[in-house]
Amino acid sequence: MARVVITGGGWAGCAAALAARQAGADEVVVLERSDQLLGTGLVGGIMRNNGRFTAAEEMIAMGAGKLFELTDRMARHRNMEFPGHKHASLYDVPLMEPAVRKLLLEHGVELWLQARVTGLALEAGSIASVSLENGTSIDGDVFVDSTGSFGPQSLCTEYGNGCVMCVLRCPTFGPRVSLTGLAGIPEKQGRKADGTIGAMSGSCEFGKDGLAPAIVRELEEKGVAIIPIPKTVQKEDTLATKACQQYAAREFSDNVVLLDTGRVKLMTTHIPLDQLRLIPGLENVRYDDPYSGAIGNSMRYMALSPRDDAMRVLGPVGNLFCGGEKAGLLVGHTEAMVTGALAGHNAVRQLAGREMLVLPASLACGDAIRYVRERMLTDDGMRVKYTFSGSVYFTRMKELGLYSADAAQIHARVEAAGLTGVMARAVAPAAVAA
Amino acid sequence: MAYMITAECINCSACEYECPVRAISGGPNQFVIDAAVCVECDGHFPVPRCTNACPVNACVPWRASYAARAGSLAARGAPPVRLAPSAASRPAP
Repeated sequence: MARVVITGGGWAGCAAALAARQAGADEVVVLERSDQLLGTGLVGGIMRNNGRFTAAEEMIAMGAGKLFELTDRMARHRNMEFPGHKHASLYDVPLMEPAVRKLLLEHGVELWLQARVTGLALEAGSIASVSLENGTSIDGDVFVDSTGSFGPQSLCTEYGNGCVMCVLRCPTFGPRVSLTGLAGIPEKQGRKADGTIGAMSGSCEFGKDGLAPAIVRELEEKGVAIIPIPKTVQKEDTLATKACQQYAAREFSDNVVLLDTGRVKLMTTHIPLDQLRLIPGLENVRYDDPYSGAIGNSMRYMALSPRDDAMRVLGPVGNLFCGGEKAGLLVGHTEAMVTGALAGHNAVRQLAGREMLVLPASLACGDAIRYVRERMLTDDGMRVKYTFSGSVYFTRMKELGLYSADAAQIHARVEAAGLTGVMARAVAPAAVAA
Repeated sequence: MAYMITAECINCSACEYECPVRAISGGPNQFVIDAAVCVECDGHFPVPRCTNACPVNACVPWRASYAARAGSLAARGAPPVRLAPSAASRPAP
C-alpha cells in the first residue's frame, strides 16, 4: 500500500495532503512539528487579492480547490479593498485551523502533531523513512518537504532582530527542520534588496480589545481601517526589509493599515510599542503575534529547495517533492496552496509511474512556477519576492494577460489547456509493458 | 576554532556535563562555550560531544556573522526604557 509522507503541516503541506488523496494515494500522513496545522497561516488571512483571484480560480478549475473553497466559506470579509489590493477576502484566523484539520481528516489524511522530523534513512537513492525527535520511524514511498523557510532562532538572530516569539514557537516545539537539508541537498537563501540574507515577515497581529470602539466598528463593517500616522510619530523605515513587497507602498508607511481577520492584522513588520500607542485609537494595544512585534518579526526564506517545475527536489534523492516556501521565493497562502497541491499530486503520479503534471504557461500558476524558478538562478532574482498579489509578478501577470478577475474566463482557460478537474481524479497506474 | 551555542538553546544543561574540557557554562540567557577553552573535542571524541548531546542542534561550529549579530541585538542589553512619573502624580510642593 503506497504511503505519501508530508513533512510540515502549513498551507502547502495541507494542500499536498488533499491533492495526494484526490490523486488516489492510499495513505497520506502529515507530520507537523507544532500542535497546530497552518504554520504561518495561523496568522495572515488575505486571499483572492489581485492576481491571487486568478490563481485560486485556476486551482478550483483544475480540481484542487478544496482549501480555496474553505477559505472562501470562512471569510469574514469578501470582495473588499485595501490600498493597492482589489477583490480581497479575509479569512477568520482563529477559526481556520480547526476547520482545516476537520477537512483533512474527513478526506482520509492522517495527521501527526508535535511530530518533529529530525532524521531520515536513505536506501538506494530514495528516502525510505523519516524519524521523529522521540525516535519513532515512519516509512514512506514518496516524501514532500513542506517544512517552510522561517527561522529558527539562530537565523532570526543572525539576520533579523532575534527570536521575537512568533506563532511558529520554535522554543517550545523545536526549531524548523528541513527534509531537503537532512538529505544533504544544498539549499538557497533569499536575499533582501541590499543583498543580506532573508526577509522579515510583513505583518503583526493584536486583539480587538485594545482598540478604540470606533475603529473596531469600522473594521468589522469594511474589513479595513486606515489611520494616518501623526507627523510627530517617527516611524522606522521598515519598507525594504519586508517579505511581502506588495505591501511596500507609501500608503503603508504614512498610515497604519489594519485588516479584520477576526484578530487585527497590522500591515507592518514591526513598530515600537510606544510609537504604535501614539496613534489615535491604538493607545491600549499590545502585540499578540509576534509577541515581541515591538522589536522585530520572524525571518523567512532561509532554506529553499532546488526544484523543477513538477516540484521534484533536484539532487541525488529520487522520491522527494517540495511545496510552499521551500519551493522558492513565492510569498503567500495562495502561492503555498498552489505549489503544495502540485507537489502532492505529482508525488502520486511518480508512485503510479506516470508522467509528471507540469502546468502550462497559459495559466498564471504554471507561469509563476517556471518564472520564479528561472529568476532564482540569478543573483538579482534572489533579491526579489514573487506573489500573485503585487510587486513584479503581478505586473508580469498583467503584461502577459494572465490576470483575470472573471471566474468564467479563468475556467475556460483551464478547459482550453485540457486540465479541467485534472487534480480531482485518481491517477491510474501506468500500464505495465508485457 | 571552536564551537558555539546558538539561540536555539533551551537551557537543558546536557552539554555542560558532556564537555571533556569544561568549556561550557550557564550564561545570562543560555549556555555558552568559552572559545578559548573549546578544542572541538580534538583528541577526546570523534564528533564534538556537545553536538551529540544537544536535543535542539544548538551546538554548532563557530560563525563570525552569528557571533557579531548576537552580540549587537538592540533589544538585548539595551538601556532600559525609563518612564518618569507624570507631573500630576507628584505630591504638591
